[in-house]
Amino acid sequence: MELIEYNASVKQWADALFRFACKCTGNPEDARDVVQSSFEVLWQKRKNVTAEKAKAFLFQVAYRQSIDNYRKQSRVTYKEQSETEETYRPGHTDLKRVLDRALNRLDEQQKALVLLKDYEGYSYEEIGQITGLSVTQVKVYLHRARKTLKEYLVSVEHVI
Amino acid sequence: MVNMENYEEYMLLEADGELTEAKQKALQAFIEQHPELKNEMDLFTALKLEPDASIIYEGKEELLKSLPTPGKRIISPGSWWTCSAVAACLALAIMLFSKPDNTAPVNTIAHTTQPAKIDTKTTTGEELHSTTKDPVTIENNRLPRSTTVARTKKKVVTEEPKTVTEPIPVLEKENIAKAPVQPVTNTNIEPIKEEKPEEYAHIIQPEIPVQPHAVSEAKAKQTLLAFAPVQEKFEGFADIREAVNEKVEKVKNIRSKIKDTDIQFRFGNKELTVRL
Repeated sequence: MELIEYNASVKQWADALFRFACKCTGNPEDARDVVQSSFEVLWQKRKNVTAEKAKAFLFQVAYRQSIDNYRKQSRVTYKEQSETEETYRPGHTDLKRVLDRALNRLDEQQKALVLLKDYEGYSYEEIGQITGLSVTQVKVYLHRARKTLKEYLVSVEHVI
Repeated sequence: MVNMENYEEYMLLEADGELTEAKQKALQAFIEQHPELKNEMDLFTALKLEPDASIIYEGKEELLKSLPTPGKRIISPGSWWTCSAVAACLALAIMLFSKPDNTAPVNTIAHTTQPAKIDTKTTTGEELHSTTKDPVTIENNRLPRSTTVARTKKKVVTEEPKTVTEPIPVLEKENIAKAPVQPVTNTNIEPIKEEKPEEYAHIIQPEIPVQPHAVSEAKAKQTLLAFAPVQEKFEGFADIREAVNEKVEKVKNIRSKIKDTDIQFRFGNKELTVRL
C-alpha cells in the first residue's frame, strides 16, 4: 500500500470505522482513539497490506482494540431508560432507537459480529478472518445475537 | 429441506444473506405453506441494523499522511556531532601534512619573513678568524656538501668574473673589524669542469649584465639573494629580496652585540647560510 492508497483509505473508511467503534465501545472518545490507533497501525504495516485488504485490516485492529478496551476498562455504561418511553411499531422511526438499545444488551463480541454483518455486509468467512473466529463460531454467535435482539424487540412490542 | 425444526436457522441465514438461491426458494415455499411464520420472518428481517450516516469522524486530516519534504530533513544530534568531529580531524590532518616543503618560492616568503635562525657563538678570536675562508656557503640538499661551494663559486666566476672577485656588497658595508672577510678570489676556487651544467642550472643566478650605468643595480642584485637558489623570474622574487634585506638590516643593528653571527635562509628545501 502506498501513500495515496492509505490516504484514500482514510477518506473512505474512517467514518465507517468510527461508527463501528462507537457501537463497540459505547464511547465516542474511546472510539476516536480506536480509529486513530487503527490507522496508525495500518500506516506502520502498509508495506504488508494491500489496498484491497485495508478495510478488513482496519476493522480487525479496531475489533481487537475495542474488545481489549472493553475488557480492561469495563466502561460500558448502559443507562436503563424507561422502556415505556420507547415503543416499537412496525415502520416507525423508533425502531432504530429500540434496536440500538437492544444492541447494548449484547456482549462485545456479539455486538461486533452483528455490526460487521449489518453495517459492513461481511460474510461469515470474512467476519471469521477479522475476528479470528471460525465460520461456525461466527454463525453460532450471530444467531444467538439475533435471537436476543428478537426477544428484546418482542418484549418491547408486548409493552405497547 | 426446510422443516419445523430448522426453519428458524433458515430464517436467520436468510436475514444474514447467507442462503443460496435454491434455499431461499425453499424457505419462501415453506413460509407460504405456514403463514403463521411470516410474522417471525419479518421480525428477523427488521432486526437488520442500518448504519447511522450522521455519525462521522471529524478530523480525518489528522490521519492523512504526507510525503516528507526534502528541506525538513532531521539530523540527529549524534550524527551531526560525528560529522563535525570527522571534518575537524580532516582539517587538522590537512594542516599538519600539508606543511610546505617543496612549495613555490611565493609560499616560502612566510618562512623568510620569520626571524632568521641566528646562531650566536661565544667563540674565541681564533675561531672567529678561522671562519672567514668562505664568506658565503650555499648548502644544497641535492648536491654533495663537498662540492657545493666550489661548484657554485665556479659558476659564478665563469659567468661573472668581476662580481666574484669583489666582496659581497653587504659585507662591504658592514666594515667588520673583528672578523675581516677575506675576499673570494679565483685562486681559492678549484676549477671544476662543466660536466653537467644543466644539473645545477636551478641554483645559478641568471646572468646579470654588467654595464656602467647599471652598476648600482647590479650591486643591489649582488646581495645575498644573488646566491640564493632561486631565479629572479620566479614569482615573488622581489618579496623574498625585500625580506632578506630586512633581515640583513636587523642583523646589522644587533651585530654590535654579537661576535659571530650566522644567518640561515631557507628557500623551500634549500638553505642559504651567511657567516659574517
